[in-house]
Amino acid sequence: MNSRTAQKPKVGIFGLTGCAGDQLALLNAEPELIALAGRVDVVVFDMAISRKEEWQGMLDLALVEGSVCSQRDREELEKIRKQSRSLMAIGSCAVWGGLPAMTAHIPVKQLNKQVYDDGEVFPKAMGAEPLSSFVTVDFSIPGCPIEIGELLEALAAILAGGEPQRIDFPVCAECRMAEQICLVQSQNRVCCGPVTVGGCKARCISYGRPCDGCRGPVDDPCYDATREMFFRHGLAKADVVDALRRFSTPAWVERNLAADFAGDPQRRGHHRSQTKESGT
Amino acid sequence: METFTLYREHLGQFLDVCQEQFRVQIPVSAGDGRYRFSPLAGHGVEALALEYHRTLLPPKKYFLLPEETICTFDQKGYHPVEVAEEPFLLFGLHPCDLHGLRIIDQFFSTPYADSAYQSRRKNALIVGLGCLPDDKCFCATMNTQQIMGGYDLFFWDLGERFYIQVGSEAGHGLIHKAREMFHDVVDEDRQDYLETLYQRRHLLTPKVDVADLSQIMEANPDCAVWDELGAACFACGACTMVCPTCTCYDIFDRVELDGSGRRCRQWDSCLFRDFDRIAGEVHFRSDRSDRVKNRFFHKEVVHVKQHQRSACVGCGRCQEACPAGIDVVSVLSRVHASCA
Repeated sequence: MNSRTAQKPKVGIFGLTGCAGDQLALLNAEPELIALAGRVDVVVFDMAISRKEEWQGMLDLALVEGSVCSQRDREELEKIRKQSRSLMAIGSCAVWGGLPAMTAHIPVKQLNKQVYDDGEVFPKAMGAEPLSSFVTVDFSIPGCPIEIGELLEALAAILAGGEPQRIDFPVCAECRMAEQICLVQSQNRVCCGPVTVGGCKARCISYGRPCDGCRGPVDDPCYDATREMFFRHGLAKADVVDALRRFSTPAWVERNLAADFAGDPQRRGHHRSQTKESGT
Repeated sequence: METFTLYREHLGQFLDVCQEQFRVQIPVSAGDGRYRFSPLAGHGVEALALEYHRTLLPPKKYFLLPEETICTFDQKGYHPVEVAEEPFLLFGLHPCDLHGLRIIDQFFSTPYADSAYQSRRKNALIVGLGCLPDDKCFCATMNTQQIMGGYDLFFWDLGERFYIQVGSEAGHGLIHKAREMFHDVVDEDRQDYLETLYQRRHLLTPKVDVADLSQIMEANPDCAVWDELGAACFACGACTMVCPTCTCYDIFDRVELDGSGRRCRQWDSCLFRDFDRIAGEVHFRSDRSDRVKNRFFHKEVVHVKQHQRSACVGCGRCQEACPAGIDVVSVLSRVHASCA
């Protein structure tokens, strides 16, 4: 038993700042967890293992969820990277920055003041960033939460010595494959499908909800045309911009679309705080 | 050719008879003026939408599944997957879809027969249905309003009765399973049928001049229209998914934790950035405009050379599905005009 355990790849599952929803998704996948435990030796699982001794050895694969929101997160991530042969970002916080990065274009000082009114609560807080801002990420499984099937298939592919299937088609494609009715066309809703990575089989649209873009942008998103389409449908610019950047602001900022994120007074948090400041 | 009539009130009974032998699929409303081919068994004959213009997905979804397993594998090797389809009957295909089916039949039979496609296809009976065009139809432009076979039965709606053409032995067999419901065609039926054809013909006028289209496109591949399209198109692939003649698929493995797995094929699209990714992260068509252009060139130039006809059947689905509102008819007309 021991010798067999020793031969199994060692896996650590870590959580930085986030809701831990991706670790929870993995914990909820009970039958698959047993199969996973048969193939790998899970030596760290932040959410599931209460003992807090630090793992000292080398890991074959680290799964990391959450975004980097503080100096502590960053140090922990760098330590995980040094200890792992491969690193996989799981969930949109880790892959794209996720919801915490929604304010990536606003200085942290300003956010701190707006929320806590002084800089003392989180002195080392940083603007939320995806893992890739600090370390090399070998594999990414986006989603809020992750599609558990996609994660398990990726793990299985890696364990079999292959590469995980890479998805670079937008949600629109899967939405049409599933024979759904387009919510932009039929209901004038803001739907992030055209620019968002598929793989969810248009889950939200199949329940009558537009895509929130939780899986982040495709490699080559057609941002301008998407925005124009929504304007043509008479949708407010602020709603469109907010929806498109909700889960993946750092990616959009990097693509120099930041100008679009700064110009909507009634929606921008920092503008509200400026208004408040000028009022006092 | 055999012809019969069937009174409208007997259609349900006839479909029930068909249902004894076939899984009958009919067009039903999906809401918002859209339609889907769906099982009669789940909906009942009252859901049959004889007035439909086009379905969200074309009949290809029954033959080339959006995703399917083509073989399984484990430590012992590869294991073929047998396609054990029960016979089914697609009721209500419009002429454009019959043409579309013909085009993909050809793709999946020559030079190599695709066994999964073929085993589904040979299990299917096709019942056509006459139609009148809406504002998105452009079959008359692509010359696919004509019925040129490819059906087992074809129904023309004459109001209180249908005028039915028999197109095959299987269609003949179907009629004779319920022969008492059908009537021989009399002069009045023939006149009403011809009157329907006459009316239909006058609603079907070409929307754009496509004469020499493939020669024009080929002679002027750098036409400015493609760049304009590249800026307007999201490359989301919606048009290719809903296209009755787009047949591209991707093949990949879905691996299980125990190392076994399934080799799958899934609809793919030439508009996707990853479609032409090769070793070294190299892309042949990394610009969206090149990918859009390629799609049109395949339909209108390459397919014409290979099969002596355009691969577009004018069903209007892509125009209906495109979130960006790209309208093929106007693209073709702009290409025709600006490249001329």
